[in-house]
Amino acid sequence: MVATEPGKQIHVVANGERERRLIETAQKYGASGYTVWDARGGGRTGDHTGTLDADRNIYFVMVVTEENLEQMLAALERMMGRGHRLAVWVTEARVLPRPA
Amino acid sequence: MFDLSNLLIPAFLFFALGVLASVVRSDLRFPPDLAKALSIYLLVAIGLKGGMELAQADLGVAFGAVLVALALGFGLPLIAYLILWRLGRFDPLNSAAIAAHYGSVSAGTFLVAIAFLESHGVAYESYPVIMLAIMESPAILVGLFLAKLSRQSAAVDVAEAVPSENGETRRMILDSLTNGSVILLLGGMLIGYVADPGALVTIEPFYTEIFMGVLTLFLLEMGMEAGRRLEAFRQVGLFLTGFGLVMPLIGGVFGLLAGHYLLSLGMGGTTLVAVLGASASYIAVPPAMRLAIPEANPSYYLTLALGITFPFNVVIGIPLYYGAAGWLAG
Repeated sequence: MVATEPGKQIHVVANGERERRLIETAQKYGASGYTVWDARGGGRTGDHTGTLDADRNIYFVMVVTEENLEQMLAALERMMGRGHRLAVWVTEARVLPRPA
Repeated sequence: MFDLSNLLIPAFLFFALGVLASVVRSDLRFPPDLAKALSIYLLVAIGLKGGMELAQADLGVAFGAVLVALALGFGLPLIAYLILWRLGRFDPLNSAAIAAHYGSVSAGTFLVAIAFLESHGVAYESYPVIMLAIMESPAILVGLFLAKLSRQSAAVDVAEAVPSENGETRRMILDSLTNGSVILLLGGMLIGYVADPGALVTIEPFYTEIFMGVLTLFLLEMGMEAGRRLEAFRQVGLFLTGFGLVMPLIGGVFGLLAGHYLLSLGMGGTTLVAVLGASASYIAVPPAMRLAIPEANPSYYLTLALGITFPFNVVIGIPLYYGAAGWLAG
């Protein structure tokens, strides 16, 4: 069986303007990397087609350790508390470690 | 003053086609980022043209145009804010976010106005192009300031948010002054102003011959976006709908008076200044407000700016301001 390490994958859907802040947060709280996709969708604030910059969403994914998870979620919660509209959820991950 | 022929210009007709496509739920979709590419072209083209004409123009009047632009850019959002907060009894944060849109400008509306003037064979000065670039940013700063005031007066726990919030505020101010539209307009103008006229001739066809055609595609997509917002009228409510129709008229009046009496522009130039006063941003300001005032509901300001004010200005406003400018010109 291939050896993997346990991790927590944090998924965030947010307005595109939040990208820079999310990257800073990821780097600050120990994510080794992140991946961003452009996203479309809709919700309580209407459809987000991506045609206008204000309507442009991103799907932001990062993997953190169990130890860093709570701090990362707390930072995202503070962002939401300031009114930023984020959708955040966590899934389990099994991470292939990089070869030494 | 207003007749059907005002609407029979390609720019308006393509906008209407976009609205129709959206209303009938056509599967018409533009490739991603096409609107952005088209707007880059349009902003560079208008900036270049403005700069080339500025090279022949009166710098004193240009400086006066900058001052008037700043006055409109800082003053109109304050008027909008007072109307929303005092008259409409909206919460201060939503009022600040919406007001910032009405102090800034819509390059799309400005370009439709240019198409309208050119279809009527009416000349216009280049000074409103400078004003377009200047007026992109002040309203964002006013929005930030009003939001900060209202948070302080609501005794929000600023201390908890301060370390990152202050840094973000500084960045937002810098971003508002260096946003893409401002860079393209001012940069294009500078290039048009300083470049050798003989060299400019080689690129002029690209920025003039296909300009109107590109504008029609841009407006087709904006029409589709505006059409999508029509359903959000119910969320916005009667007062805000009325605001979206009346505030352009208020801004338009200030623009008319400024263009005619302060800058002594002709009928074309005065019409364009009126359009600048009357328009609401839906490209540069909304993302700034999403960052700066996240508590505000984006549905309000996007529906107002793109779903109500933009179509109003295109269909009724531009011919109205043109007629009023003509009346002022005697």
